[in-house]
Amino acid sequence: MDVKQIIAQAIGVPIERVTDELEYGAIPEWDSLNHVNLMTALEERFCTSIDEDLMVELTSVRAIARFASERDGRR
Amino acid sequence: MGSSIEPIAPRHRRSLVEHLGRFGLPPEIVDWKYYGRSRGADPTGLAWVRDGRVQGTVGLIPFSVQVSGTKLPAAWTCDWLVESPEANPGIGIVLLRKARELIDPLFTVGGNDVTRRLVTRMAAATVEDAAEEWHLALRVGGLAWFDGLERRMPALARAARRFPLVRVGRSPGVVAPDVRIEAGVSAAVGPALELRPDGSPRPAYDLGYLRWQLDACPALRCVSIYVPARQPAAAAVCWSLREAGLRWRMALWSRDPEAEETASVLGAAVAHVRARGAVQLATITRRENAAMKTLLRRWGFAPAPRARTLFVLTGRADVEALTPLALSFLDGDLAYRF
Repeated sequence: MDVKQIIAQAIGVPIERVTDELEYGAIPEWDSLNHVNLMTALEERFCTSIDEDLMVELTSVRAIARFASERDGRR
Repeated sequence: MGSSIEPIAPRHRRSLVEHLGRFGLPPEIVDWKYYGRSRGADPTGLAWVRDGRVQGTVGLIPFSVQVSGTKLPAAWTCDWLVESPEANPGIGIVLLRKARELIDPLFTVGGNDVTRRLVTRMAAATVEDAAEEWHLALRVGGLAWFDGLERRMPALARAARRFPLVRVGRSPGVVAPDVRIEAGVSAAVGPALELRPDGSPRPAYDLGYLRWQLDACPALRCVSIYVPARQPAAAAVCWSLREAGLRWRMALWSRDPEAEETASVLGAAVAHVRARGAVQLATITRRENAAMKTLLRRWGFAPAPRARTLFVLTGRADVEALTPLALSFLDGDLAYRF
């Protein structure tokens, strides 16, 4: 499952709405509760732990894509 | 330096005062709420600390909830606040989830629109309008429409606020000879805290809890009202703000709302606060408590427009056993938030 699919599923929107420019707070569905749900989904997908410092950085599709790329590069 | 979520401890005090001060809490209230309880290891809350500074909190007010014959440890939440939440997404949610890991169940009553929108989705149970507020206007300033007058014509409102109201067909309230009134939370009120007329789940508050909420709170003054008896049938505590406290609040315990002792205690409460210049006496009762609502109506109380929602955050399977919870102004941090 790619990053956009993970985001779409976690915040409950069709994948077409997960554009490269999308970020936290830009749409009602990406609120703080769904942001935490998204972090949990990323932790499960990449078998890693996301602490609070990282959670407040991963607030855009681009940032999450970079995170995913780094994690995939380590595997 | 990384951030962390930590139980609130003495080392956080200065930063906690600064953080909560940004949201309007005076230092003495912070001290009372977070460092003023003699409850041993009970947590008073969690703090999100970043760069050596508290930047997020969830306060906890531990209590026991009586469900049938069992007392469960539980907590009210309060001061669920994060600085710059738009730049710190998810911190508030993590604080609340970690608080629930400390104490389960957690209860939240009321809250603003943001709280309600989020907590509704996190809660195992949401009881709309669980707590009904009832007001007895004793002077013009206690009438429901008076707030509007204060906004539009403040000078007139100031002049009219203390005009007494004529209670046609209703007792003005008297302090009967068998009723005692004492300053502070009296030990005599203790046995009345066990009274449960309808067997619903209820916070099992003890004298220590009441004394912390009312006696120890720097913003409040209170009195206890009771009929001395080996088995008390009714008791009440009434309180107001120390400074210019024209509005009073009451928590009333009764074995039977229709009993004479209940009327005696309620009558004494009305007489006492009126004599001290109160414009209004308010109390909260559970929506389902028909007998108490009938008593209050008889005394001239009217339901206030505001009803509070109760949220239950728990992983327990028996969440239905925890609601509806008997509610009062002693829940959470409602007591001092006039």
